[in-house]
This record gives sequence, structure tokens and C-alpha cells, in this order.
Amino acid sequence: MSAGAPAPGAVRWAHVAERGSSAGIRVMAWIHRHVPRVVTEVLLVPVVAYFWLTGGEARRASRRHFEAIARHAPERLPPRPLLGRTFRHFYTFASMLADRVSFWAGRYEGFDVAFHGREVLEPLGRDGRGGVLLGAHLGSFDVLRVLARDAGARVNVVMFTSNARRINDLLGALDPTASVRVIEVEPDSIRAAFQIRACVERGELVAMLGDRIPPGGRERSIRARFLGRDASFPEGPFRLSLLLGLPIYSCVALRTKPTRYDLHFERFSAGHRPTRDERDEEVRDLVERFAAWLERRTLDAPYQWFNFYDFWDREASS
Amino acid sequence: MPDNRELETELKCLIVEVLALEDVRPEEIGTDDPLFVETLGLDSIDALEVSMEVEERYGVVFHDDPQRNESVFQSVRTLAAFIAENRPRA
Repeated sequence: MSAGAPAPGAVRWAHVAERGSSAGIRVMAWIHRHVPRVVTEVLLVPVVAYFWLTGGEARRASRRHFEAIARHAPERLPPRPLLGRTFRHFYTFASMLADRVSFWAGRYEGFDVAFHGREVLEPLGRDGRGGVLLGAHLGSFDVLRVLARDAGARVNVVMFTSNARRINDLLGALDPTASVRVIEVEPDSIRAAFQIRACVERGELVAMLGDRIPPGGRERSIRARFLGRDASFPEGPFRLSLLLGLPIYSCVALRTKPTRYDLHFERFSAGHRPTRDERDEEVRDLVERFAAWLERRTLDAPYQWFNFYDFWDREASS
Repeated sequence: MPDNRELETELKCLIVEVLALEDVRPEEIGTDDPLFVETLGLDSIDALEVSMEVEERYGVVFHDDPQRNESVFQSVRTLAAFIAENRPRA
């Protein structure tokens, strides 16, 4: 985690963490392996307190998130914990980040992962046609490594960062058997498009996050209703699936107990190729359905929503 | 240097049509303009869309070589040259 001064509007905590240095990840992987969990849970409190106190923007975003739930679905608002909801929110993020590190290292010992929807994945290997695996900054997307390993599916994670190659090397070093690869989307380069296409033609999965607008390029976002207000969603994953005729699978892993994850894997859309004229309409339709799916899952686990910026703000998401 | 002018004009129309570029006319696209950087502002998804249409229309195949494809999609000129070279002869 980088502890830089929070610039206005730029405190996207999850984002910062995603870009954590490889040394930092190694250190955390080591801690995870050698330090008992109860100790790390306690040690996390001052760390989280620091980020909570200094991360004004993220704290406000967290508050807005719970306000949205209070307005839109008051019956789903969790009771106020001792240190307040926003602190619990930060703490949940940090604690699940520690879990992610061990998933990156291919270690699931000590974790109980319940896999719902395994059967949905089965035809994948058989008909050799790939698909889009769609997740969000909710719960742990990294648990998909379990899925990749257990189901023998190859997963390619599409990332909009410039350090994808480093991440690839790191993943290889942490877990040489990982069947997860990273595809990097660079601004001003179309290489990723052909990599994605090649992957799905080999019957592999292309994993993307459906709740973050990638930087640069053309305006590729659609406003859709989320927790009672309009928010921007990327159209990329949906357009890609309709362009290539790929099914979309939604994937979310929510932590239901300190060491238990419930992984929900569903077929979100069948995958067909509409004509060019129909495509825009169908993209919109899929985006709206995705927003509804995300809302439903977010209400299942309000503390595991990891978009620490104003999600509804048109500017913040671009 | 082979003369692909006709093909180049067709491709400019194809790009505008496929991507529904409302504020660009085909003749405004320079044959050597970089297609997928700032000037036209096209992105990876546009590239996929154009590539699929080109495959369908001209019977060429873009192989799994991202680096090569990137140079083919450099400009209208490079794309036309690729098609001229690889399309099945009638």
C-alpha cells in the first residue's frame, strides 16, 4: 500500500492497493504464511486507523455509500458497529486485501471456499468457446483463481495498468502453476484487442471488472441505476461479448465468515451476435442488468463494496 | 508500390460506417493517419469491430499475432496493403 498524501478525488483506495509494489506483496505473502491470523487482525487496526484518518475522500465516499443504502434499501443497512460503519468498511477492505495476497500466492489452506454454480462452467471446456468473466470491486475477485484451478479454465485478466508485465512475472513467481494471465490494455495501442480475441478463440475466459471506467480513449460509459441513483458503467465488457458472440459469466466471491468465501458463478448472458443496428440497444440492456445484479450482490455484503470514490459522480469515474 | 487507392477509399467508408463516427467523413481520414491514437481516438474495441468487418467483407484472416496486427492497423494504407496481399483471388 502506498501512503502518499491523498490528492482530491484521487483516493481510490482499492486502486492504490492494486498497484501495490511487488516487494510489498511479497512481504505480505510472507506475513500471511508465518504470522497467525489473529495477530495480523489486531495489527491491522492501527494501519487501518491511519488510512481512515488521512483518507478524507475515501471516508466520504464510504459514508455516501452507506447513505445510499439507507435511502434505497434501509432494511439492508447493517447496524452501526462500535467504531462506525466507515471504519468497519476500511477494516474489511484491509483484511480482505490480506486474503487476496494469499490467493495470489495460490494458497487456500485455512480458507473454506464454497463454489456455487460450478455446473455453469462445465460446458466451457467441452465446446471450446471462451467467454467473458465479469466481476466488480465487490468481495474478492481474486478467488476466481480457485475457479480457474478447479475447473481447469484458463483465465486472462484484462487490466488497464502499465505494470501488467510485472504483475505477470510476480504471479508466476508466487504460484508457478497459476492458470491466470494478465492482458494489459495500453492507451494508444490495440494489441490487447487481438490478444483478447485470440484467447477466446482458444476457449479461454477473459476476466474484466464491470464497475470501473477505463481511462482515456473514447467515451465508453453508460449511466445506469445503482442504489437509487445513476452511475457510470463501462460498456467495454458488454460490447466485447456482443461483438464476438461470447457468453458472459458473472462472478463474485463474498466473505461470509472470517475464513469462508462464497463464490457465486452465474451465466449472465447467452452470447450471440446481434446486428450492428441492434448492438447499442443490447449493450445498454446488459449494462442495466449488470447494475441491477451488482446492486443485489452489494446489498448482500455492504462492507465488501470496494469503490472508495464517489461512484455516482460523472467526473470521478472517468 | 501497388496502387490500392480504391481499396483505401472503401476502407475509409467502412471505418466511418462500422464505428458510426458521426462527426467524421470518410474523405477526412488521411491514408497515412494513425488510426488508433489520439487523432481519431479509436480504441481496442473499435479495432476489433473493424477487424471483424474487414474479415467478413474481404475474406482475410487476422492471425494471432498481436504485434503484427498492430502494424497492419497502423493506418488505412497499411490495412489496404494487407488486404490486397492476403485476400483470396477471385
